[in-house]
Amino acid sequence: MNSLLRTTSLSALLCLTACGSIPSREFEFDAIDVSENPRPCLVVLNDDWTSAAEKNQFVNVTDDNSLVLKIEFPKSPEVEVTCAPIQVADGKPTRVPKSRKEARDYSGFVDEVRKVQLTDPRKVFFILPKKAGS
Amino acid sequence: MADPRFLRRFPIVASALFLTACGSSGYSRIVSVNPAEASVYVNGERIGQGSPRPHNFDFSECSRIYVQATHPDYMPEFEWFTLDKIQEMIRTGTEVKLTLRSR
Repeated sequence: MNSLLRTTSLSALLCLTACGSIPSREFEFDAIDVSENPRPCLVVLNDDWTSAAEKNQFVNVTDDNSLVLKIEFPKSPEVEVTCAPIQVADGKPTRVPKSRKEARDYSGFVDEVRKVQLTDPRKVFFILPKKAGS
Repeated sequence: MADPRFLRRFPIVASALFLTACGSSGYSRIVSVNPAEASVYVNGERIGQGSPRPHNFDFSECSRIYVQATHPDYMPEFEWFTLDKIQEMIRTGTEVKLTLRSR
């Protein structure tokens, strides 16, 4: 491993983002269940469930499709991402959850929360298990 | 005067060394999972299922790498690997192994 190359490229990324007002980067989100089937989900950033619903931050709703989001890191080096499972009928969410509990209770699957950093891999991939007893 | 046989072979040897250097941008570690039938994903990409296999952990484009494993009868597993962690695993001869818990 060329550590100099790694350090240089990561430093360049940080410098470029530092030159702008707010560091930001595109990430691709996707989710499956434990049987490796696409799982419809709502992607929530920093617990902002209202914005997530308004901006249609869904994956795998109409088809097996991921979601690309440009995430800003204004104050913290990390952004908290919640992958909240939802139920879908006729290519539309039957109900958009407003909390992790609501997502779990209504979908029958367990949500996952992950801290994402600016220099993390581009793809943010979730594997959601079924809720106990489902 | 250099040996003519050496002069003939030098470009081949130099090319081989160059290609080896270009392909070594990462740390190879054996990745295994228990149960062996579980599927393994690295940075969200499926790398296989079944027996242990070597994987190149390349930190040139990210500061940490995540490994996931899933099986229909088990809880999925997730683990982050930083450069320091992989280097420590190489030093101690530790493999990347994910063990899934029954549901």
